[in-house]
Amino acid sequence: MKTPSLETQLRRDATARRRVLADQVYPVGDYPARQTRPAPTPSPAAVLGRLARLTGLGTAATAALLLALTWFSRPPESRESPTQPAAWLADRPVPGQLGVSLQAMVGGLGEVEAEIGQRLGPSLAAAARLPERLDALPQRLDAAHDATRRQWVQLGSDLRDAGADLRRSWRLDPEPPPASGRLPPADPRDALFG
Amino acid sequence: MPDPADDHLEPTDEALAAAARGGCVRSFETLDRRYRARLVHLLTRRVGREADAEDLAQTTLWTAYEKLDRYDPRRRFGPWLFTIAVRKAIDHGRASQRRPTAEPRGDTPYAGVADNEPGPLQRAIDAEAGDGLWKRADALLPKNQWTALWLVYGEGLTPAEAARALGVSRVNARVLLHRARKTLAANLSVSETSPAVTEYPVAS
Repeated sequence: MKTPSLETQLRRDATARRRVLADQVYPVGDYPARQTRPAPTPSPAAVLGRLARLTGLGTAATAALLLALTWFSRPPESRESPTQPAAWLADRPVPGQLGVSLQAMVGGLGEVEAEIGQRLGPSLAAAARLPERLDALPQRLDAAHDATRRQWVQLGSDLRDAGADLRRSWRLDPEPPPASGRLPPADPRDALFG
Repeated sequence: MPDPADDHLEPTDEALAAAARGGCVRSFETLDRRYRARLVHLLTRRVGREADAEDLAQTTLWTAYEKLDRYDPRRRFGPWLFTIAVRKAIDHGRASQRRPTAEPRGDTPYAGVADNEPGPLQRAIDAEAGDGLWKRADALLPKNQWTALWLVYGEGLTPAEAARALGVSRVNARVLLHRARKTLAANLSVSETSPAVTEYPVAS
């Protein structure tokens, strides 16, 4: 005779145990009457209202998140006052606030002329008028943007010309390429700065 | 509302639960009669003492009655109720671990009563001869394996329902079932040449 499978035995013996359980008599619990509350059937308007409320909450939460992110990632506050030039000029020289190096350069032009014993070229002389030109610049800030830009372009061109004039006057050798390691030949005029 | 408990045909658990949710107390009393002994049986294997299991069965049925609004009538009532029962047993186990064990004093009425004295249900089970394999399961299997096995083969739950009742994944439930069957099969093959197990201590 074939032995029934384990699963068959489990089900068969469980039936016997379930019969034992069914024969047990326990006192039934004393349950109070339930407060019957019919399940509310939401009207379409209520559904739409709820949807709108949830959507609004989501939008508000997103907006709050964006505001918070914008606040925390904002650039540091500018220290310029309303009387100062526009923001795009904030790092440029302004009257009375010329950079130390620029002031030294302009102020030192006369000393350079004395050292080399000759007048500087016209471009360099134009550069020497930088303070006056810069002083006049803020008055032009109300002018058209292009005019102000042209002013700066001209200023940059003058500075480049001044640099070229200085190199011609001093016949400076070009910088050696960094990889060569070769030093430029000694210039006897370096002794001037000894 | 018609009372399913008056129906000539046996009303289903789900119909009774739906009626009870609608306010029919008699329907839930019918469910109580159908399930209380089964709950005590299951919970005894989980908590060890039949008296504790009876208390937990009462708590389980009360909780189910109170939470009937959360019962989904599209699902079967039995697995939902057993899920509550297993949760209650787990909570009971945690509370028991936190409680200090008090030594019984000699002058109390319970002095000398053995803690694991079989209750009426266990005595009835012991007297039944037709459930030999389950007596082996009672003696051999850890309680989670036993519970999974009983829920599937004794109560007719699917492995997925048993997993939900036990609070484990489906894979874990299948592993529990596999190990339980393997243990029983090994014991059966050994016992064919040796005397059958005659003592069935409560699984703890």
